[in-house]
Amino acid sequence: MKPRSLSRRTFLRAAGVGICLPALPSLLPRGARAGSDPATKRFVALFFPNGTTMRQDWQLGGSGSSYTMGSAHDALLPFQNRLSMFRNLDGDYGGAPDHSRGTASFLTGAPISDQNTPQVDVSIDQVIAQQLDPPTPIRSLHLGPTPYSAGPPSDTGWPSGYNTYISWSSPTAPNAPLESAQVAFDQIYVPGGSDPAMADARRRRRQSVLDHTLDQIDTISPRLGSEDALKLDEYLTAVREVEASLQNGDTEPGCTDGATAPGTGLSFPEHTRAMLDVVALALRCDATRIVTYSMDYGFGNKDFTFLGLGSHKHHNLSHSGNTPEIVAAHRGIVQWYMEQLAYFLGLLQAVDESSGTLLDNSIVYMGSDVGDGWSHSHADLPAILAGGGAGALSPGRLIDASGSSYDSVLLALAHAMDAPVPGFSGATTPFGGL
Amino acid sequence: MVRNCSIEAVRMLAVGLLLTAAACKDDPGPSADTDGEDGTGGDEDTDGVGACEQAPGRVGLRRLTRAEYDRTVRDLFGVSSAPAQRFPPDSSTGGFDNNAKSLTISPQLASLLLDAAEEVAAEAMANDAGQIIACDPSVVPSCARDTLRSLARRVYRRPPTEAELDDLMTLVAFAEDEGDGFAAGIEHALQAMLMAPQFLYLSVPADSMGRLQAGERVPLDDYALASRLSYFVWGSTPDDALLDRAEAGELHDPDALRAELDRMLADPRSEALYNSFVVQWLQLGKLAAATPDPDAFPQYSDALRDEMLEETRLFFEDLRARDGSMLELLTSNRTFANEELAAIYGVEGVTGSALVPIETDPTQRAGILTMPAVLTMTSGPQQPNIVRRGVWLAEALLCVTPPPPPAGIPPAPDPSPGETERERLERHRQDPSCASCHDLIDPLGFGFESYDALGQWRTSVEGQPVDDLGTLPDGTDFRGAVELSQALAQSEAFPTCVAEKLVTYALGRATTAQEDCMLAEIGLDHVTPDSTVSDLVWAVVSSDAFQMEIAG
Repeated sequence: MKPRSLSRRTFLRAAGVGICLPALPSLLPRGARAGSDPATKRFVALFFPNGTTMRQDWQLGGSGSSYTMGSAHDALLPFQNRLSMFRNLDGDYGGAPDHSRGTASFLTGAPISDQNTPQVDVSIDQVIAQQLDPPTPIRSLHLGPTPYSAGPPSDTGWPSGYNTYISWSSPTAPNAPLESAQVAFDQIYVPGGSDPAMADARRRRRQSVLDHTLDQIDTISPRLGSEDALKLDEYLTAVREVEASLQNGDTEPGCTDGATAPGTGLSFPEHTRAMLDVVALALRCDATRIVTYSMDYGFGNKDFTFLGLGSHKHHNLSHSGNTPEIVAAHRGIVQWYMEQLAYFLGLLQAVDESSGTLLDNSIVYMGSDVGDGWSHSHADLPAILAGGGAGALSPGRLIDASGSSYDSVLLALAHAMDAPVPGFSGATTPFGGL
Repeated sequence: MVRNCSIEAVRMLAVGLLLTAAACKDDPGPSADTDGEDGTGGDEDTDGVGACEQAPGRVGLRRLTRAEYDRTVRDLFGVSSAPAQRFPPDSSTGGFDNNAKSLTISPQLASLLLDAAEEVAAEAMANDAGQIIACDPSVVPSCARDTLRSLARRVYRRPPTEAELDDLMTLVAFAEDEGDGFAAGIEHALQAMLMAPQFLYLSVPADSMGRLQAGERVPLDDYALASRLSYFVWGSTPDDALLDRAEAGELHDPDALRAELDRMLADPRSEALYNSFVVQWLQLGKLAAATPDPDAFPQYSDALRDEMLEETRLFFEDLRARDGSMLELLTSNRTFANEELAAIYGVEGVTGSALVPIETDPTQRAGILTMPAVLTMTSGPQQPNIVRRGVWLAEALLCVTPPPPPAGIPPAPDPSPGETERERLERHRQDPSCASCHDLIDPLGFGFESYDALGQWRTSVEGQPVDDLGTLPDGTDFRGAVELSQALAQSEAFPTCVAEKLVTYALGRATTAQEDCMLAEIGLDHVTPDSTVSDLVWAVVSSDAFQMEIAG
């Protein structure tokens, strides 16, 4: 276990939340004392399905730092100088149903082709996690929408996993998202006043169980053929990560005090707010630095009757044509997603850290499986980049991605997160204009 | 097997409906040679299936699904808290969530599995410590090892090896070092078992299969066969009786295996065949997402929705209990209804909220195609969705998956005044790019025009008489869902599709093109008026595909 009193998390809590501990130089981690690592960066990817009413409501005008947003973006106006919007960002990987390929490529920049086994490629959030190997209780947190009673939606007979997973640790190891805000909350919540001796005893017990699991995998693997051994190897990797979490310790006791447990049985909009609250709490308390959140799955068909714009299901609506009523209803859904983003950015902006706000230190990338929802096009994707990335980003601009590949933008996100990998998917040169 | 509605698929479907899959039935084929080639020997053939050359696909290690995890800890230890509901969702491949290829374990899931192991072990000991620890450790020196041996046999679904017991004993010793008591040591070892691959995956071999070449076909051992059987029929772990049969080496005797199957089908745990297989096969989960318009259908409520689903459950439960023919799915006029459902059916004389057996009007109703659950979940808020009904029929009953609308094509035209939905769609199909798929889908959906968005019989639409003339992919016309059901019952496409769905679920893998012949044979032999549900399930269980595995 790392020395807890001087951990990065202690510093963040002290500096960021402004309770319990003053940000004394003696408490700063080595890098920060040296002045070379003034802020800890966080990466959040937010996904929403079915694109937007691109041609009507996502019209971006001007250029560079003097740009105008569309009618879908009213909620984001207060954050216009804290975010950038993409124009002409194309990401068509072909060869598979629109939603499956659009969702699968969102963070991987890779095509899909296998109809019998969900497999894509490692995603950029996991590239970042593997490079940074943050000393947090949770290496990366993966969240999803309220459950679908028939399971996550399948696009045209293709594995539903392609619509369910945006994060992949390896081409065959997706990070399945949590569908309960309460479960997500439980992963990071540690009440103040917890008995450290009891926590240590529990950690030892859990470690001994994991030791047994790892031993069993080691014993069994040689009995298996290569395919099965690979499957067990994925389990081994997962168990090793749980082990690393145990060693990194829990969230700093007390940091999550005052947060409200989300509970169960939430409606879709309640769930969405609760999940965003959990993400902000996790980032603030340094329970994790890397989050992906599918606010709905690709091909998602959530019921948006609650908006009062008629009885509409999201995906059905996106196929329903271009009458003014349909466009208005779809616009309402897009606006609702933008309101959720604005809410989340507000949460991050309200947290002061030693250098700027939590939002200043974060990179929030939001996008969808298709561009224009009605045509299901993969050209000119609706993508938003918010936060300052601790100085790595220059927010408040219209970013024209004409002629640049989608994966080069993802590669640039990794570089902005201080994960300078030489290449990603097909890209070897990071997009230059973030 | 994923088929899209390419022209070829439509043609194949037409062939399946019209002509015959008898090519593989009538032709004795290469089976005589096959025995030599595949190394299984002629005596591996069991009755029912044998004329087709069989080249089973590979299942490989398969993680328990969430539902299987919950049923397993329920049946092992009486744990009823459904701990797996906290896990991330399982995705589905080939329409079923038990597909081995999609069942992975992420770090997030591993962490929740560890939580669940603690919770389940604690509850198991609280429920049943007296039965789990059947000896006095102060009197019997081998008490810990004896206890672990009997626990691990149930949790690992096979007897543990001595090495595995040694490993588990270290957990007991660990607890002792921590100052815990004997029972806490057993509980700790149980946590470890619940995290072990031997529990989480079907079916981890106890011995090396190293002598086998990749691709070599081998019969499942008795324990692996017991697990495959129990997760097929019960969606849960083998019970002690089934493990005893495996231990006695009886499960490769067809008579003993059939007797076990019949015992298991008669057991209430076979509810899993409905709750996991039928619900996914017929996509009944979609009913929860239906949103009938309260103004148009004031009688609709969450309660009525649940009753619609309950009707389908009772229908299948009755079919299984009577061991009727699978064709009753298409032909039966016996179903279940309470007062509200009976009103949808137009059946009089049913009162109260309990669902009771009813007889429906054979000129209006036939089996599942005309059930309110199916007709509601394929409807929009006010009107039936002809396309959705056609797509459902193609996917669920014909095993053909139409592709999504191509990108950027205009949606179906807006209705003209006085135009029916049917007329609007016929106008839509004048566009050749739409017609290629909608020529298959829409004419199937037209057959349901006599049922409104809640499944009530109707005789007019938009002030015009209902036109429920539909067309099968082979060009045969039919009038209404009753004739459609009859046509499907006489087709070869439907029985073959039933076999494909059942085998896909039973094995937890997609079927292969080489297995098409076997699927047609199982379906055509056992989805008939004279064959029963248990005959059909037996045909699957006795197939090589079920009883063999390919080393990989």
